[in-house]
Amino acid sequence: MQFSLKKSKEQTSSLPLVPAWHPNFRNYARLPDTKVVRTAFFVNGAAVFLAIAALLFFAYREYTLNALNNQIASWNAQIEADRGPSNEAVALFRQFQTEEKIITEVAAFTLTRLTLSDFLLHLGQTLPTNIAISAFEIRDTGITLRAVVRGAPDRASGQATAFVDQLRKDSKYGALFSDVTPTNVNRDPGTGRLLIELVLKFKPEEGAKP
Amino acid sequence: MSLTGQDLVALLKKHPIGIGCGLAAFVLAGASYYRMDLIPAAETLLEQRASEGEKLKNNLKNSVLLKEQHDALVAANREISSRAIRIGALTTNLQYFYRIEAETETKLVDVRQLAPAPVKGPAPKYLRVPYALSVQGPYSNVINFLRKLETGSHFCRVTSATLNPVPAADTVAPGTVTLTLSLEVLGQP
Repeated sequence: MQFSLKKSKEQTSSLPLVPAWHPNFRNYARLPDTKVVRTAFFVNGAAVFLAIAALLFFAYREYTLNALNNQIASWNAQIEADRGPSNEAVALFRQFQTEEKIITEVAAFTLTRLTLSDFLLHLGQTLPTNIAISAFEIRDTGITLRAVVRGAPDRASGQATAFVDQLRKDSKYGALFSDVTPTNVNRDPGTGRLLIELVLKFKPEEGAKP
Repeated sequence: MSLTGQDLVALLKKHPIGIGCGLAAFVLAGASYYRMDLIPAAETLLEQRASEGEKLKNNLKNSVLLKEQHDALVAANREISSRAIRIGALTTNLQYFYRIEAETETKLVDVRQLAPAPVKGPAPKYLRVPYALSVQGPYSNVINFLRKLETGSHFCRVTSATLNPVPAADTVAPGTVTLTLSLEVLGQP
């Protein structure tokens, strides 16, 4: 036989209730409901909240969609109004480009380093008294000048050097040349005058390959 | 236990607000879900339309003075065209040089129109027509001849030039120089 201090379930349930000290005459069916807030209130509240939230969400999205559609309609109207004039402008711009291309072509043709007649006139105006140009040649790469220097040989060579410096520092055309070099200096055996040959090398044009 | 129609009606009568609102929420949620893709699609369409509209608007804005500018270019090109020589009109072209020769009192020793260099790609509107010429005369007259060529009615550029004195002889006045030029004149085919 086992002994236990814990009461068994059968024993607990079989214990007699404490007898009321007076008889219970309450009629529970007729008593008022004392529950302050009904469960139905919360259920209804949640349902109403959900319905309002869904309605607001739906209305907001419809409003947004309507606004977008209005903007699209506005742009469509604007596009339809602008399309014709825009197409005309684009066609005119193509014609403009064609005309511009011709102008650019002609501008490239007329754009030269120097106007030869201007250069020769300038050279004549700035030529030192004792120096006379005997020959002149211009090419793409530069200018070759042949000149005669009058006077005694010692002074003539000094004048030739001064002329080279003058050409290098010429305010109007000096910047066109990368270098001015005397390539040949001789005395003319017949006249005794100094014959010089100068090469005025053009600077490479901008954008030209070195 | 199963719900009969009467039970449902009774339930509806018992909880009209809760059931009505629940149904409405369900329907609205379904409608929102059903129309969910419309807003992104409308946004994409709006972006396209706005982009196209802005492009057209810019075209119009930038073309305000285009007509005047185009007209000015057309007028300039008409002027250029009138100043370009016709390659085939050989006698008329040479007449231009002879007229300058007469005006400057020089002597054209030689003048030749050469064939233009072949051009790659599409035919250009204008060609560079090369000329080789040699002119003799007093220095100032020769320079005057050159100046008239460079600033004359036809577009002309000197590609190479050689200026040399002519040795004194019975037929040549002292101080006479020879200018040998290689030119390019703007021409039309």
